Formats: sequence, structure tokens, C-alpha cells
Amino acid sequence: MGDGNRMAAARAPWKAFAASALALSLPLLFAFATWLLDRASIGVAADAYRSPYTVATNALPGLLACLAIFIATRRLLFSFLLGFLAQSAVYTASSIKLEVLQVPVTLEDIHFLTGIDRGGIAVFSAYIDGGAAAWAFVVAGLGVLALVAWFETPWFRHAGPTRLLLLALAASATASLVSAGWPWTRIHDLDATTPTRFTTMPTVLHSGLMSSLVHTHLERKTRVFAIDDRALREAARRLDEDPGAPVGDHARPLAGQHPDIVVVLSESFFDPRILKRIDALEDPIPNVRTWLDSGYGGQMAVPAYAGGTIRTEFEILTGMPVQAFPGAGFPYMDLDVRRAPSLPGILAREAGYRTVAIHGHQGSFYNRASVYKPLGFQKFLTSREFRPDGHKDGLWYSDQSMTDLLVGELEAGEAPLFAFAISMQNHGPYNQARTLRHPDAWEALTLPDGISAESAIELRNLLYHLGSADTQFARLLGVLQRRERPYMLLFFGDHLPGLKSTYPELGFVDGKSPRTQKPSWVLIRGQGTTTWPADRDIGFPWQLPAELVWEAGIDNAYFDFSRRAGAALGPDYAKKPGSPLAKGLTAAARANLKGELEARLP
Amino acid sequence: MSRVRALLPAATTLALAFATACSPRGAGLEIDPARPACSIPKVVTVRWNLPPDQVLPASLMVNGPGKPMKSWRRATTHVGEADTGAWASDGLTITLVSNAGKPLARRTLTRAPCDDV
Repeated sequence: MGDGNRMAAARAPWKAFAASALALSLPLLFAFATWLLDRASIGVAADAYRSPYTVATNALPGLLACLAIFIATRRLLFSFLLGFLAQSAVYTASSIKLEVLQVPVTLEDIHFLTGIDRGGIAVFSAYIDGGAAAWAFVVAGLGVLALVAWFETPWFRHAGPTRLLLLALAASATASLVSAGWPWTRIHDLDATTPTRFTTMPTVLHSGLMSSLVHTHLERKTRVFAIDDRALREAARRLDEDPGAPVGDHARPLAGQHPDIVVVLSESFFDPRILKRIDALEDPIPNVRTWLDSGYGGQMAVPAYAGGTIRTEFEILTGMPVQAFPGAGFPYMDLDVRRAPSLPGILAREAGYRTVAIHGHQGSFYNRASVYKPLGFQKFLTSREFRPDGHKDGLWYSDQSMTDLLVGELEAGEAPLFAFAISMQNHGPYNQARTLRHPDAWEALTLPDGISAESAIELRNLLYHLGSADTQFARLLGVLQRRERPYMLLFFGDHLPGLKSTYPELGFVDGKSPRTQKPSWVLIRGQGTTTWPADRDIGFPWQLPAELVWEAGIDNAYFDFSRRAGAALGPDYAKKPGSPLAKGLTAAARANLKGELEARLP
Repeated sequence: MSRVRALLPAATTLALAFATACSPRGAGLEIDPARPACSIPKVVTVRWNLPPDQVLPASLMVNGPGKPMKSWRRATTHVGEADTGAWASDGLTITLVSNAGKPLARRTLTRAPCDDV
């Protein structure tokens, strides 16, 4: 039967009435079912903050998607089923993210959808438990969709007025949403509340996840990172006039000697002895601890937990606190870093360094491949370069393989090298036994007595991989020492891993929450076996690149400002963001992002 | 197959799923005050009501939005009430869980918008 005959058959009055009733009921069902998904995804009662307004506004983005599918396919039921499946996928992802990272799906996550590749799929699929059942569900859903698409008759002609009208409606609604215009700005005038003990995500609780995403989008479209010139000048004046401030005026034995600078961002590296009952076990990180105990490092507060490596990485490469850019969840995607002076850019441009980044994963993950060149990296070695000779230890490329490439780069030229390596081996998930290079060592690890099976496997995996990172740290340091060239080795953890079972079961020595715990950093300045301790009061990652530049004897206005401000502020940058120096540092970072700092300084 | 016939089974299924999801399974749970004004009292009263055929004790679990549930206390009578500690807050969720571990009812502490006060 052709389209015309089918539509003629459907013109009987009762059929038209029934079709209209169902066409109206489907959006209602979609809205209420979405609300149920929403409440279930955050574990609150279905009636919590349920009102016609919240249910409707939370459903609007999904309904807009359904409308777009309807216009494209001309099949109403198919459109709502597909739209609801997509909506369910978002809520499922949010539940998993809440479980692992303790935050729901955020607007930044859309970057993973638009830039999804094999690397992204590999990372995310590792966190989906019961893979076979999940895939069976997806296949069954697609089967149902295919059947509905086959049997459902089109609701309007290919190029009829109905389709054109709906197309105009969808296009205008989408355009106004993208441009943050009316009616979205009026609909989503959300009640922003202060987080409380039980409410770390008030907008999601009060209005729903989808409303929250729209709200965030609308906020960001109108967001401006204003530069407070008065605060900047006041902070500069205070730093110049306060000779008592600890401005890092230490001996700089390597200044002007073009030391090789190797920075290792060690995935989820931290001192496991901040957990209770670990200090009685054999030390899994003896090499790093030796240097920590000798005054070559400490702990620092990082802007990430269980994930979000890119945030700590951004601070290390640019020296700018992510706190200065509220709402910029993934800085490489949310900020234009092309004009900002960065550590590799300064070293390459002003001191003739070779600059290389190394990461045993897809280069496109977190948009690194796009921003590394503007940041000043001349070379970026990714999983493609790991593949010929590298090996995996667990799910990911090993720290040993990463160090092999690092050593190769050190020996590849005469010019001083700046190398930035991002390890992958200790990336989660930790809740399953994997194929390891050294299964005997994994088995032989001792664990606290009486812990649950879930904690035991998490902890065993963690300690095994931390041990590998520690071994490779020592190996790399040995290589640098044997070269008899001046060097600086900065080794640090980007965040704590998300251990769902271990943290609640063991607890932390300081009694505080996992998010407040600090990973370790070690900075070794040396030549041969002669080394100098890093007697620095480092509280945050953004302070470290300023120290490296200072130690290398390179002048830069922003790093000079941030080094002195960081030393004077201590932890107050996070605790007292409204203090004059903190406001000045925020202004300096924002001006630096635009490449305007020097012009704005007095 | 007509458009209407194609839509009916799916619509019915969705409606049933929605109705089932809303079913309280015969158990009752309430938080008092049910919807306080802008400022929520730190201590609230939780009342529960279990069907007579439910095996005792049941459990009362608490969680915040997006947080895992933790055990709060046991419900050793079919009808009872208890005050929370001074930790009630917006989004505090109480779940009444049967002796067999099945969630029976759930309530979340919410508040009225501050500008309504």
C-alpha cells in the first residue's frame, strides 16, 4: 500500500480522533517516564520536586529530539521510542558516572559524544558491568525499533505542509536553545541554591538532569571571564611591596643550564598510606617515598577526583588554576588556549627546547591532539607509537612502555628536552582481575586482614599498578642521572582513583572524605647523582610549572606572578578566593589566557 | 497495520510501566514536615507503616541525591516513627526496605522555594 492509500485509510473520523489522542499522550508519557528515570538515576523519591512544570521542562530537550526524529522519519511511535531509548542511555551513563565519579552527566560530556573514537569507547565500555546483558538489551531495543519502523505508517507526506511546519518549529526551537534565547532563558530561570550536606547537585535535584544541562548551557552562553584589572594591580603591588612574603628566593643551581625537564603525570598516583591499615603492609611505592621523606616533594590539592585528568594536566601545562574559570569543566574544550603562554611553548620558543608529549592512548581523547600543538608541543606520541614495541599491563599500555619511549626521546637529540608523559597503566576500573605482565606479583601482594572481596580486588589492582609506576619512576631517574646532564624530574599524581568499596571500608587516616585527599608530587633537580631538595610550599598543581620555569632561569610575566602569588597565598587561593591576592591571581590567569597579562600589569 | 493499532500496545505498555513504578507496594512512609518552607529543620520525623504480613525487622536507609544508600535504623514495629539526628537537609531520602531487602517505599525531603516564604 502506498503512502497516499495508507493516509486515506486513516482519515476515518474515529481513527483521526484516536490518532490525535495518542499523539498527545505520547509526549505526556515521554515526559513522565523521563521524570521517573531522572529520579531513579539520583536515588530520590519519584515525587521529589515533581510538578507539571519540572516534569515538562525536564522533558523538553528530549521532546525536541523526538520531534526532530519525527520530522526525519515521519513515524511518531518510532520517534518516541528512539528518543526514549536515547534518553535512557543518558540516564544510564549518568548513574554509572555518579557511581564511579560521584558526579552526574555534565554538559562537558557532550565532547565525548562529538569526539568519540576507539579510545573513548575503550575507556567507557570498561566501566559497564554485565557487558553481555547490556549488549543484548541494546540489540533487543534496536530490533523493536526496526519492527516499529517497518510497521508504522508515515504520518504525513514527504514535502507536505505538516512536515514543513514541524520543521520550522524544530529549527526555531533548536536555534533559540543553541543561542540561549527566548523561551529557554525564561523557562529555565532555575532556583540556584547553595549545596548542602545532602545536596551537592541542587539543580539536578530541584529540576531534573536535563533541565540542569540546559541551565548550564544557558549560563555558559552568557558567561564572560571578566578580568578585574583593579585586583590585578593591587595584587601586583602587594607582591612587590611585601619582601617578607616567601617568594621562592632560593638558590637555582640549574638556572641557565638548559636542564632536561621531564614531567610525568602518573595516572591516579597517590600515597596509599593515607588509607588506614595500609602502613602495616609492604610499601608499594618505596622509591617515591624515599624522595618524599627527603624533602623533595609533598602533597597537593588537585581539581579532579576519580577522573578529570585533563583539569590537573591543564594546570601543570599552563600554570593557570581551573578555579579561575568557573564552569570550564574540560579546559581544552571549554577554553581557547591558543594565545596563552604555556610551559612547553615558553621552553621551545625562548630556550630552544625539544618538546614532546607521550600518552599511551588515543591522541584525540580529551581533545589533546588538537591543543598540544598550539600549546607548544612539537611531537605527540600516542598509542600508535606504543603499538610496535609497547605492551599492556592490565587494560592499558604499561608505564614501562611509556618510560621506554621517554628514554628514547631523551637520547634522540642534543638539544635540551621537555617531555610530558601521561601514564595510562593505573587507569580504572579496578574491580576486575585483568591479564597482567606479572600475575605472581599481583597474587603476592599482602592486603589488610578481613576486607571484603570487592575491596580486595580494588586494592590489589591499585597497589600492583602503583608499584609499577614507582618502579618506572626509579628507572627514569636512573637514566637521567647516568646521562650526566642537568635535569629536572617532576612526578605527580593527577587525582585519586575512584575506589567504590575500599574507601568506605578502610577510611582515610585523616578521617576526611576521598575528594579532599591529596596526591603526591616529587620534584628532583639534579646533575648526575647530585640533587637538590625542592623546598617549596606547593599546594596546587598550577604552582609547579612556575617553579620549573624559575628553576630553569627563564623569565615569564605570568609564571613569575603566579609563583610569587602562590607562595604568598598558600592554601588560601582555594579557601579564600575573595582575598586580594586570590582575586589578583584569578585576574592574572584570565588575562594570561587572552595573552594580555603583560599589557595589564602596572 | 493501521497507525492506531500500531500505537495502542506501546502506549498501554508505557502506561502500565508508569503505574507500576508509582505503586507504593502497600507500605507507607512519610517525612514530617512533608514540605517545609525555604529553611529546612535539621531534625525531621520519619513515620512508617508496614503491611501486617511483612516480616520484621525492616530497614530504614538514608541517602542524598546521587549517593549510595546507607543503613540508618531498623523498623522493629509495623507502625512507628523516629526522629533523625540533626542532619536532615534538602534531598535527604529515606527508603523503607523489607526484611528480604526489597524497597517498599521512598520519600525525599524537599522544600518550598525560598521566595514563597
